[in-house]
Amino acid sequence: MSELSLRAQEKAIADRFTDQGIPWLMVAWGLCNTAIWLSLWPLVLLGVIPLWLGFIIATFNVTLSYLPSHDAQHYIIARKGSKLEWFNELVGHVSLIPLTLPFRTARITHMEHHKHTNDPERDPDYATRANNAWHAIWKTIYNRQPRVKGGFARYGELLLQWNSRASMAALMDALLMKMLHFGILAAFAWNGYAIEAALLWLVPKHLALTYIYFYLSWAPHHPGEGHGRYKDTRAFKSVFGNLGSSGMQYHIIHHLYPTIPLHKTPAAYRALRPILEKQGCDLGGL
Amino acid sequence: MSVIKLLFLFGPLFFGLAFLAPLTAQLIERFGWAAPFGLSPLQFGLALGGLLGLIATIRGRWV
Repeated sequence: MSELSLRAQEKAIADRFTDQGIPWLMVAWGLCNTAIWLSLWPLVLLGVIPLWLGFIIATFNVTLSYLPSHDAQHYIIARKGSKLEWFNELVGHVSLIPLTLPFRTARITHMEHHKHTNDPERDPDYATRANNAWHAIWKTIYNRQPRVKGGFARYGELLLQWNSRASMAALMDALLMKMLHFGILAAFAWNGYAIEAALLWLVPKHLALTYIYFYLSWAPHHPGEGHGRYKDTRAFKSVFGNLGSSGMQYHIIHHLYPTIPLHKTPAAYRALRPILEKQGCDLGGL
Repeated sequence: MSVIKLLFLFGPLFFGLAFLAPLTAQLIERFGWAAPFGLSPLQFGLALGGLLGLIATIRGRWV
């Protein structure tokens, strides 16, 4: 079969999983997750639930906050230019509040990640590249140190370099968000709620970022050396299964067809697997 | 932009004083510990938070 007809066949299969209306699962996930996280503050501060329980729930909340916005970044919730584009943007902004990552910053850097996956200079997520799983966990922590140019700091550096109207707006969002986060933490701390602020926001955020960078960035692109449509992302088997890895076992589908909603990628993968095999993709035994 | 860069350069020190200091003081009080050298919990928190923040500012790393 020629390359062209294989691609046409691939696209025909992928089209079955796109444009199926608003993915309400992702909408509910994003909005409810933030609502639950916000509700933890009065519940814990008023002593309705114990702090240790609030900490566990908050850690899940912050960890779960990225993916609904990720669908919104790709206009999966509602298409760009459609009547409901505002709703797409709303879900994108609201779902990211616990993670303190501004939506416009996330979107612009993520689009560049798609364009330049595994490019050391141009992929904003390249700093997560690591030799093995333990090294990857260390890198996510290392990249968050004050003067290390990885993680969000690398985003800032690239946004400055791009120097476009959109990148400067995204950079401003990031600066404001960082100052707001810091200001809120300090305000809680000086009013006698430092332990609560640490366990409902600061510590969950760092645990979440470790997980997110590991599973959403490092694992699907490891070893971070492949370039091109069928080589820059892989399928893999996670010891924590598909739910435990936030659906990232099938991330290869997302890089091939970014408008397929997250919850449809496993089915799309199964349908596309024979073609991906023919294209020589790394399917990691999945 | 240079003011923002300066703020970020000293970010760990601000964080040490503005967050770690009251956090340390409240941990001391919550667990019923006594601050060393006859200091109050907040004085000790400011000393520890300030020191850790200063070290992180100079090294560019917390860990």
